[in-house]
Amino acid sequence: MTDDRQTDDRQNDELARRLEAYASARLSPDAATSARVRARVMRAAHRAVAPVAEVATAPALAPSPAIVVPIRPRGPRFVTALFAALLTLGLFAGAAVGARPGGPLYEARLAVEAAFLPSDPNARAEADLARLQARLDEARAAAEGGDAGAVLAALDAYQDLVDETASATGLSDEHEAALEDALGHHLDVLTDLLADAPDAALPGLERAIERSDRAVERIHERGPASEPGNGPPAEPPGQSGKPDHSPQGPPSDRPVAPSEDSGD
Amino acid sequence: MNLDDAAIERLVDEARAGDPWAFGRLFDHYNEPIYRYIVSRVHRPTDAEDLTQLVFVKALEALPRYESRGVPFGGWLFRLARNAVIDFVRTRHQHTGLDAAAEHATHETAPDDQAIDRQMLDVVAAALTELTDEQREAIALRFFAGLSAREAAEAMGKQEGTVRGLQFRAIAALRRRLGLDDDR
Repeated sequence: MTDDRQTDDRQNDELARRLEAYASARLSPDAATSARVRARVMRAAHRAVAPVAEVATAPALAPSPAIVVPIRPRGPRFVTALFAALLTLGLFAGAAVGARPGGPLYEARLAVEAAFLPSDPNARAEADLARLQARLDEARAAAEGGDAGAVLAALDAYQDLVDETASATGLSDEHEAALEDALGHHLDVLTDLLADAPDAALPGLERAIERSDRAVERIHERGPASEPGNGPPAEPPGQSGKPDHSPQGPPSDRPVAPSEDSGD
Repeated sequence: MNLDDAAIERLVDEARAGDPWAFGRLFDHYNEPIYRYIVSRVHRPTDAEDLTQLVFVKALEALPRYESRGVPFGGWLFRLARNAVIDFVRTRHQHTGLDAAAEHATHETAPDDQAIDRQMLDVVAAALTELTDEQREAIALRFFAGLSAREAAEAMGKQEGTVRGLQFRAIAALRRRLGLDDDR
C-alpha cells in the first residue's frame, strides 16, 4: 500500500513536471508580448484615472513635425516659442549636417539642444516634451527605414531624457498632469513601433517602453492625481513595492498533482 | 512576482481607489497565468494577446464593482478571462482543435522548447486533446495558470469538489496516455 502511494506520488510529480515544461515552452508569453500588453493596459489604467487630462492633450497622438507641445501653456509663452524656434532650427541644422541618430554628430546635436533649455521648470518641461517627441519621431523614421542602429540611438537618447523629465520638480499641476498624459501617449507610439522596428532594435524598444511606463508612474505618484483617495501606494517605490516590469511567473501556489485518494 | 493573498487584497483596494501603480502590480502578477490559460483555450498567440489585454481592461472597468466577500480575486479575474474566451469562441466560431495547436507549436519556438525534448512536449499536447473540454479547462486553470482549487472553482462557476473530480479524472487520463502508469 505504501509502495503504491509512493509510486503514485512519483508519477504525479513527473506529470506535473511535464505539464509545467509544456506550459513554460508552449504557453508562456514572450517578453515582447508581455511588454505590449502591459503598455496598453497601463495606458487604459492611466486614462481611467485622468480622463480630463486626456482630452486636453489628445493632439499629441497625431504624427508631429519637429515639435509637439501637448501642454496648455500657462507659463512664459515667449520662452516656449523661443525654445521651439531654436529646436526647430537645431533640427534643420542637424539634419543638414547629417547628424542622424547613431551618426557621428548625433551626440553633439543632443548636447546643443540641451544647452538651450530654459530654466523655468514649466517651460523646461515643455521643452523636454518637445525633445522627447523629436526622439520618438527619429526612432519611428529609423524603424521605417529598417535602420536598427538609428532606432537604438534615438531610443537611448529618449530613455535618458525621459528619466530626466520625470525627475523634474516645481511644475504646476497642469504641467504635471499634461506631462503624465503625454508620456502615456508615448507609450502608445513605442508600443506601435514594436510591430515595425527591426528585430535588432526590439530589446531597446522594450527598455524604452519600460522606462517610459515607470516615468508615467513616478509622475502620477507625485502629481495632481495623488490627491486624497488616489494617494500613493502604501509601499514607496524603490523599496519592496517598486514596480517590477520583468515578465512574471505564475502565482506560487501551484497545484501538485493529487494522489488518487485526493479526488472527490 | 510572488504576492500573498493579503498583498493582493491590498493592491486590489488601492487599484479600486484609482491607483494605476497598484493595478500594474496586479497585472505583473497575473499576466502570465492569464495568458497561459487563454492561449491554452484559443491556441493562437495573436488572439491570446488581444484577449489578455481585453481581460485586464475589463477588470479595470469592473474593479469598482468587485467585492471580495470570500471570492478570491484570482478566481474573479479568471472568470472574466473564461467569459472572454467563451465570447471569443462563440463570435469567431473558432475551432480550437489540433490544427490550431499545431500552428502554435510550429510558429512559436521558445528557447525552452529547444532545450526540452520537443517530442515529449508534442506527446503532452496530443494527450491534452484527448481530455474532455472541462477536464482540459481544469488542467489549464490548476496547472498552467497555477490557481488553487477554490479559485479554479470560482472561475469555472462550479463547486470546488467538482473541479477536484475533473482534475482527478484528467490526471488519470494523462498518466495513462503518457505511459506514466507503466511504472507500476
